[in-house]
Parts: sequence; C-alpha cells; structure tokens
Amino acid sequence: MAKFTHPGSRADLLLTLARLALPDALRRSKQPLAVATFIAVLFLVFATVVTLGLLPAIFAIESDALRRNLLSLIACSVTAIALLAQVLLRAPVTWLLDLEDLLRLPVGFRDLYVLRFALSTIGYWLPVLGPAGVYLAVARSGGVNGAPITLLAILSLVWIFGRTAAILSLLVNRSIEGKLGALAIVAIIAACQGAFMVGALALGGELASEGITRAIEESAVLGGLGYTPPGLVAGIAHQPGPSASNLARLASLFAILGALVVLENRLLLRSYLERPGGDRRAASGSLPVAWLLRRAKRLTPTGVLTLVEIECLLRLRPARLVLAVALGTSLVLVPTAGGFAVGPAALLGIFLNDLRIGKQPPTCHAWRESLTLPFPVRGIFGAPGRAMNVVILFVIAFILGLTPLEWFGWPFFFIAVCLMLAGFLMAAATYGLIQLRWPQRNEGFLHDPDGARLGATLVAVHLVGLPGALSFLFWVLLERQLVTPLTAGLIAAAVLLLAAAAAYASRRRQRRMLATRGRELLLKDPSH
Amino acid sequence: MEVIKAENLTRSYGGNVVVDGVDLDVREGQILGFVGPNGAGKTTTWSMLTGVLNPTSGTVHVLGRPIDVNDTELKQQLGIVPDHSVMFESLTGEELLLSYARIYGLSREDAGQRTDEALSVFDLEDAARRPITTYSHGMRKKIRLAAATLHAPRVLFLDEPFEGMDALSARTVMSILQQMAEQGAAIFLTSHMLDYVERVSTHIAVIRDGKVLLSCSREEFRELPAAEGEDGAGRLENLILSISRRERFSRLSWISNRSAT
Repeated sequence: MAKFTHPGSRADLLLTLARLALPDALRRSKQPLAVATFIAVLFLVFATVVTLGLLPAIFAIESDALRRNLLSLIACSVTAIALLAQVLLRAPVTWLLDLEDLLRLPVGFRDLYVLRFALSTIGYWLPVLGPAGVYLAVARSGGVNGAPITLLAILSLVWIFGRTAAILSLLVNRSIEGKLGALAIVAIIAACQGAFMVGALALGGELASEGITRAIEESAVLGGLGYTPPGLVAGIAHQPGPSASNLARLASLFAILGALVVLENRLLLRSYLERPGGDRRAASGSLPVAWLLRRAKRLTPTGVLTLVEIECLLRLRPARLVLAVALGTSLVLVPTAGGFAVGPAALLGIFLNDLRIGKQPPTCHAWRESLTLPFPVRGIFGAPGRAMNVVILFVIAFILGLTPLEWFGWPFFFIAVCLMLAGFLMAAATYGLIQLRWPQRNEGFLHDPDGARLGATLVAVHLVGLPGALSFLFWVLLERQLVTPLTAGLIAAAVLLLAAAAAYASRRRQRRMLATRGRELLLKDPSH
Repeated sequence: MEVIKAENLTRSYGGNVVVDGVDLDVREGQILGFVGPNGAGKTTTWSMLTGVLNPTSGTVHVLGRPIDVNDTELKQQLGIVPDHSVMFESLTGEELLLSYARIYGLSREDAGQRTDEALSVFDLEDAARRPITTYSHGMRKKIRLAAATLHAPRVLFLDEPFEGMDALSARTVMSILQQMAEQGAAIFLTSHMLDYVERVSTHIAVIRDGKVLLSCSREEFRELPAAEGEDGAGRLENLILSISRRERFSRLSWISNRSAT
C-alpha cells in the first residue's frame, strides 16, 4: 500500500495516532469489536424500524404546529438521551479521545484536538441516529438545493453533540457523577420516556388523545425547544429548502459549534495541563447511604455491610445503566397495564443475574476481603443480594408511583401483585442457586464460557418472566371477559404459592451448600 | 501463649509449590517480620494465616482456634491489612473508619472518638472527607491500618504495611505496632522495607522459594555473621542478598555503552 505521508512528519504522526486511537477507544469501552459490531447492528435495525415508523407518521400530520413541535420534541429527547448515556453512564455513544497519555508524545495539543474532534464523530450515534439522518437528508430535504443545508445541519448537530458531550464529560467527571449521577439519569430518562409517550399518544390511532394533541400544539416550551440545536435541525427538516430562515438556522448551528469548540479547548487545556494527575477522574461526594451509616443507631454488622454494598453499587456505572434502562423501559410498559408485572419481572432478572453474580460489582471483588471481617460466609453471600433487593423495591415503588394514568381495577391489581411477587420469588430462588453453583463465573450472555451456567440462566430468565407474561395474558382475558376475576385471581394466588414453595426449597438447598462448601465457593476463582 | 501457630503449611498451584512446609509461631507481644525476595511466598503465607486462602496441607491456629472465616468471634479479635485493598473504596476515609468501627461492634461514641483520633494520628484529617479512590497509595495504607486497629485487635496481620509511606508515616506506624505489642498483641507482617522490619520486629523469619530458611529473635539475628555490606546495606538486607541466588547485580548494556557512542 502506498504511503501518503513522510515518516516522522506531522501528518504521519497524526495518521499513526488515529490508527491507534480508535482501537484504544474501543478497548477503553471494554467491549470486544464483535460485541460492539453486534450492538451497532442491533441499534441500526431498531433505529431504522423506529425511523420508518415514526418520522413518516409525523410528517403525515396535517396540523403545522403539531408537526413542528413533535419534531422538536423528538429531536431534543433523542439528543438528551444520547448525551446522558454518554456523560453520566460513560457509554461510548461517541468516542472521546483521552489525551492524557498522548500528550506525553511529541505531538502538539492542537493536533491532538483535531484528532479528538474527528474521532468523536464516530460512535454508536451513527447507527442510532443515522437512519433518521439519511431519511431527512434524502426524503425530507426539499430537493437538490435543500439537501446540502439539511446535510450540513445534521452534521453540525452531530459535532455540537460531540462537543457538548466532551465538555460535560470534563465537567461532570469531577463534580457531579458520584453525587447525582444515579438520580439524574433516572429523572431525565424518565422525562425523555414521558416525551416519547406523549408523542405516541398524540400520533393518532387507538392512543389518540385530543387533550394531549392540543397541549403539544399550544405548548410554549415546545416552541422554545425549536431554538435549541436539535430544534433548529427539526425546523430545517420541517420546512426544507434554501430559504433565508433555514440559512439563519444553519448559521446559528455553526456559531454554537464554534463557541463550544473554544470552550472545550479551554477546558481541556486546564484539565490536562494545569491540573495533571488523577483527580480529574475522581468522583466526589457521597450518597445518602453514607449519611445513614453515620447516623444509624441500630445496625447489625451485616446491615452495615449491606448498606456499604449499596453505596458501592450505586456508584457503579453498570448498575446505574441498568437502573436507568430498566426504569425507562418500564415506564413505557406501565401504561399498557400488562407491563405492570412484565417490567418489574424483567428488572428482577437483570438485577439478580447481572449484578448480583457478575464480576463487575465491587461486591464480588470484595468477597475475598470480606472474609477477613467478622461476617459469616452466609452473610457475605446474602448482603449483596439484599442490597439488590432494596434497589429493586425502590424501583418498583417508583414505577407504582408513576402509574396513575388509568386505574385498572382491584381484581387486576390483586392478580398483578400476586404474579409480581411470584416473579420476585422465582428470581430469588433460581438466581440464588445459580450464584452458588457457579460463583464469580458470570461474564454475561455473550461471553459466558460455561454452557451449563448459561443454560441455567436462560431457564431462570423464563421462569422469572413467566408470571409477568401470565399477568399480561390475564389482562387481555379480563378485558375480553373470557375469564372471571375470581378464576384469574385463584390462578395467580396458586402461582404465588408455587413460587413460594420453590423459593423455600431453593433456600434450604442454598443453606446446605453454604454450610458445606461456602468458603471454597467464594474462593473458587483465584483471580479474585 | 501461642497466638499464631502454623504447622507444615503448604500451598501448591498445580505442580508448583509456592509455600512448602512452613512452621510459624508468634506469641503475645511479639512482632514477626516475615521477609524474603519477590515471589518467595510471603503473601501466600499471609493469605493462609488470615484464612482467605486454603492451604493444600498443614494447619493454622490463631488464639488457639483453627482459622475459619466463619468464626466471627475469632475474627472480631483480628486486624487485617491486605497489600492491595479494593473494598469500600468509594467511601470517604472517615466513613470507612466509622463503618469498620460499627462492623467490629464499637459503640457510636467510641467509633466517633477513635475515628477522629486515628485520622489525626495518621495525618489524614485533611483527606477525611474525600473518597478513598482519590488517596495516594501511602494514604490508602494508612487508612486501612487505622481501620484494622480501631477495635484494638489481639492479632494483627499486615501485608506490606510500609509500602508507599513517607518516613514520618512509617515511623508513626512502627510506633503504633510497638505500642500494640507492648499491650500483648501478636503481629505478623510481611514487607520489602527491610530497614523498617529490622527496627520494628521482635522476631524475624526469612522465606525463599516457599521454605522458611531462618526464624529467630531480633537479638539472635543481630548476632548472626551477616556483616555490613560494602554499600552500607543493613543486616537484614545483606542477609536477603546473601541467600538470594543471584551473585552479581545486572547491568543494562545499552546504558553502559551510552558514553561510548
């Protein structure tokens, strides 16, 4: 292959760095290339389906104001979710090049910034937002004259997104993450999910709501969103073409981009050159659990351990990610009433499987060290599980608190509660046993080297999900009056009793295993 | 009274014997410095003594009872400071000490008072409200040591306690260890900081290739014919050098040749 640059030249160095930086960014995101590709393809398929389902439907709306405001709402929501995922969860939505190590190389700051700028336009946003971008640029650009404006607007939004994410990452790393990360992500993703729900309700069909439609049309807030960068792009897509207003919107987008570039440069310089060292990455502050630890009057030693484990857990990014995603997903499911039990059951599965057993939580890394403290083996095994349960209960309570859209009646409430509890018990029974049988071996579904464990987990997922599915089935049957509430209630109660029996049997088995092989199980993997 | 007693302690991984038939005996008021070259088996022995690693064969008794991670009553009387700790690092130093105090059953008043005193003695007052993740290596060692001594344990196990510490902090730690030994605690410590070990230990054991080559009191050790080295190294360092297999110090050819080029 012909060489385009001279060895040792600035261009050669930058190209070399670019070739190194992208794999490095991938490695930092801790995902093998195959997994990243798999996720990207999933995103692409999902985003294409959503784009082709949602955007044409919006453009088919007759009301000008409704169409315009819905476009702004969705553009802002998608950008906000992507930003949150990037900043608070460190999800590699766009790969930001960390200059810390590279600055030790003989290359200038400005050159590295150019590299960072270029690389930060690569990431998961491409498959997530790409289909919408292609649709807008091809189908909604107003012809050949309008296409460059639409395309430039989309590109500038991507760059603005990259710069904003970079700036927030620089700021949030130092001060916000540890303190507010979990709460912020839950609150804002819930708001974004709410925006989507509102949009869906306004779109028509069975979900059409005249009140919501009118509220969107007349909303001053949504009108204001039209002046944000995503709103400006939505404005161009709404009335495409080389008009003066669109040129003004494009100029505004580039002005915002320029301001962000200047700000990011200053922050980067300050961060890398004026405050070198590890404090940039350190989280500060503490969660309320620490407050509890300080003030609690009655705490057993294992209770203290549980609280500390929660503290560690909530500071953990994967935990926050699951918390946020689960909550966001559940919020969409809840208004369908059947999701009332499906959502929590899914939560249980994810939490108990991936966080209780997984290698990622600090609880697992702390197991060996926990053995040096005055806790029995059973307590060490149990504490992380209890921590999980507390989080789950919090999430379920939160979901229930957000459910008053439509009261589904006491009979279904009883059935759903029974089945939700049954799902909870089945999760505790199956995952508890799996945790004991294969401790510290969970690498996730895609990497699990142990076929037996993977099989057991898949069975467990179905057992846990079954009550949720039953709940949905009963909802449909009750709606169509194919089953009486009494019959459905009796079946739900029977399922709950069966789950309780299974949980009891599982606990007995777990106790026996712990008594005979507890320490060996904890210490099975010497790498921990 | 024998506080820590290990008999024929052996640990192997596959066919590789890491610790080979080690016998140890630490009594009340004794500080045993357990030293040896890299890979000699110090930390493996330490792990077996603390109960977090099963020996392949042999037994460990602490305070007359077989070491057992389920024996919480026994563990209440132990203080353990591992070399690298990953537990509870998200807490601030103050929160960690308060939590440990509660875990070891201290009252709230005692916990608060001892936490304040420990933070002051270990010179960590300014960092008390910062997460431990922001601490330097030496500060982490100090906060771990403070946490392990809050409940005045009868037995203390330390793995590389002086690593990363400045001279003043090391002196503070030595002073506290001696104070604890005077009060009857038995202390087992491994370290590469031979000068400190020589100064603080009442007894010394040297391990190499998994076998204990020497175990004696400090007085007996000082009578050994391990003379001062030409470079002014301490007795213990000379002893370690003399038992190590390498007979000469290595040199990097390209560094030596730099002046020639």
